[in-house]
Amino acid sequence: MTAEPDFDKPAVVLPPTTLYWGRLSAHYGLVLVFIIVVVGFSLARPESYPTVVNLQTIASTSAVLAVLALAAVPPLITGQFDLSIGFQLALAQSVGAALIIHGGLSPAVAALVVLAVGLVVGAINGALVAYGGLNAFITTLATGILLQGASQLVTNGEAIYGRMPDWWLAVGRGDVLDIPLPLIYVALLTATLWVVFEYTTWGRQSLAIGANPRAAVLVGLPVKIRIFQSFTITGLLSAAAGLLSVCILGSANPNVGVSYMLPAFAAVFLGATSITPGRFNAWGTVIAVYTLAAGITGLQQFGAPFFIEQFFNGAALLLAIALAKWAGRHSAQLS
Amino acid sequence: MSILELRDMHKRYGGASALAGVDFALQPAEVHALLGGNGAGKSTLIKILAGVERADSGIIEIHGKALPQRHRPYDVFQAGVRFVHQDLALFDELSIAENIALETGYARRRGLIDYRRTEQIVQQKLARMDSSLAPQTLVGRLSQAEKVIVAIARVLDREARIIVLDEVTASLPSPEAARLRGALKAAQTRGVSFIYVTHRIEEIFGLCDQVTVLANGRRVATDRVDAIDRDIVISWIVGHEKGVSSAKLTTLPEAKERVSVRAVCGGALHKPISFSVRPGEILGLTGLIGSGYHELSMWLAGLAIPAAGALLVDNVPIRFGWRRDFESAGCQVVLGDRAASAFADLFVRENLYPIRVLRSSKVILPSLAFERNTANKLLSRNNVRPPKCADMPLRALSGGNQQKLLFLRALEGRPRLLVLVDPTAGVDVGGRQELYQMLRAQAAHGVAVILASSDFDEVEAEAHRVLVLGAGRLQATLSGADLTAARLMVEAHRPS
Repeated sequence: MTAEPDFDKPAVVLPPTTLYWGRLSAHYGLVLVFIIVVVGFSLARPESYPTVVNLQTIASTSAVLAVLALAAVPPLITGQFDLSIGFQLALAQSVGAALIIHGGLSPAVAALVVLAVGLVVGAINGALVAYGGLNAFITTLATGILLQGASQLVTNGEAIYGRMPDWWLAVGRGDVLDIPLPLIYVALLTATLWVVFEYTTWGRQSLAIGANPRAAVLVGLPVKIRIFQSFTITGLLSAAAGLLSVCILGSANPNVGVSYMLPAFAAVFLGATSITPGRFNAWGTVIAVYTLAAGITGLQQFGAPFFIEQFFNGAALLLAIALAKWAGRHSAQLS
Repeated sequence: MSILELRDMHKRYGGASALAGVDFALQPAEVHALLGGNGAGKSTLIKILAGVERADSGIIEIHGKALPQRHRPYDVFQAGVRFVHQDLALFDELSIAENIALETGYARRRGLIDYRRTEQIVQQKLARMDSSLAPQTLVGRLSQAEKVIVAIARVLDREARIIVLDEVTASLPSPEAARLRGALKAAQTRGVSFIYVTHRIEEIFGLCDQVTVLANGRRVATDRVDAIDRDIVISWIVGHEKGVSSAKLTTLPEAKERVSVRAVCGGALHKPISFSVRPGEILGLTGLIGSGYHELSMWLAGLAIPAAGALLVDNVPIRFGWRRDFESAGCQVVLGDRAASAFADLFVRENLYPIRVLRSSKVILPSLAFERNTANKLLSRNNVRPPKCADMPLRALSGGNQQKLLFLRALEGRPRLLVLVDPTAGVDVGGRQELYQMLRAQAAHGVAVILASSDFDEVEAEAHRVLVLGAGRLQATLSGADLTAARLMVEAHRPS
């Protein structure tokens, strides 16, 4: 082209050993924060914080949020955004509870219906974005609002309470060796997503598509299919998060969408500063969910008011992205 | 007396000399062309004048007053010099008035924008260039020459004395050029001088008063435009092009054709063109920017669709625009445009991966250690620097090494046809030689290669046969003794 030759200098690259501590803190800083939070509150409140009951409560109440945050990850990896996850969760909750309590269906059948609905909703989002070429942010905002309407339609706008079979509630409230089942679900799901995105061709293709869609087309990657699939997985996982909340709570509320969506995204972005910094990743996301939950619970034990949660989530996210930005600037100066 | 004088400008980048003692003088109220090919030193000279690059030595005088040794952009602005850059930096969705007011300020009444008054002011500015464009017109609706006029009007304030137009016209049809000429003339009568930077020889005739030709960082000649013609300019440029270091490719390989292109046309290429490429052959595609060589190469890369025509690889038709069809036919692509082809934020090993992954039927990948080791071995075998960079983000590598990596990525796909589009854009001389060696090695292995480039030296040295596009059609097919940079330049500039 018309550009003059670019006499670019090779980047200065430090040997790996000098970067060791910096790299360690960049990758595992959030893990360190999590440990400090748990140990700190345990020392400050030895009678109430490091108890089995308290830790179990943190583990199981945050599990729904953790699954939902993981649901947000696949579209982010392909360079898209699904704003409707909270509303998908609310719909799954509403449909699941309504089928079990009002419809008298077996929870197993209800769960299958809910997952199928989630799959369809995700597929619609994915088709609109990948094949319709619509902007993901606006599209999922619109479908999210529609889903909230659908949840209110299903529940008549009211919370649903009632009897559910004991075995179903045990799925959400049981434990193995004092480890709450929901935490085990989260761990399994996280490990699965990690393997899928790091060690399968499907995951690598998705990552490349998110990194540069034009280059992905050039090397012949199936861009549209992968984007479609990422939204479909989100639909399935959001529905799973909704089901998990039904068997933990035994009830449903059609209006929980936004209150789940915001902390879920906070955790995803916070998690992206850790483990594989700069990339959305499953372990980072889950560690972020539990770091926030551990911190909030500790502060509440010190008598902090209910709205501390919002302040804590918001401040933590701001702090994390600012630190990541400045750390990035520092390393950019090195090269 | 000249109003701008650059004397004995020197500039080196690392080992390469970009300017080796260039002199340039601009007279009051003239349009002075600064002409030269890729790497001639035009951009470096302009960047130094603008204060964004520092000269190693040399003196710049404006109105007889020397600029400070390490001058900043602001010093040049104070001295009345204005710049209009290649992309013009106009907003297509905004009106002419808003485009100009965004830079020069809106007229206001009680603190709020007064659109009527703003448009009047803009109209006056345009009138200074004898332009009667309506200020309310959206810039997106304007022709290229009109856009240039708007961009000039934007920088043409009362203190502006010298305006540098840096490669602002891709290709102007003659009525357009006349319109621009009129605008420049009008500004000239108000005491403004222009430096018109271009690599297109024919543009200077009818548009400029004076021309200075640069080649290899030296001034070759300065003369009045009405005293010279196209052939003299070509001889100035070619006479000073440096010789090519590597041996030229002469003998075409004997083989049945691998690629057959049948009657394709579209975009700037009005007349259908047909040709074929044999295994082991490097076919050059060249022309001026805007001649259609670039579009043609993008069709052949599977990244754009022509208006008509067909493409056959080994006698199997390939659908234009279907990258996956091209992939399965063994067609790999290397673009010089790394923004469109590289995964800058991914690791080097991940950049090498997509193609190999695509071609394997495996769902689960081999271990990370295996991937890292294979990548590092490949990188060290091909002398990619820094060593063992598999786990660095691609953007940490220099331009030349990034380009080498993209080349290796394409080779991972085991190509039967390799399409290279401006593959050495932004790569230094040493890096280019290494890329050329890799290219020749592939051809020697029987890969059919299409090398599309606007760099005449590159296609002259690295292709067996070259198609020159111009004026919307195939101008010439050159090979053997006919294939010289001078011939390429003559054919590329041949009027229709």
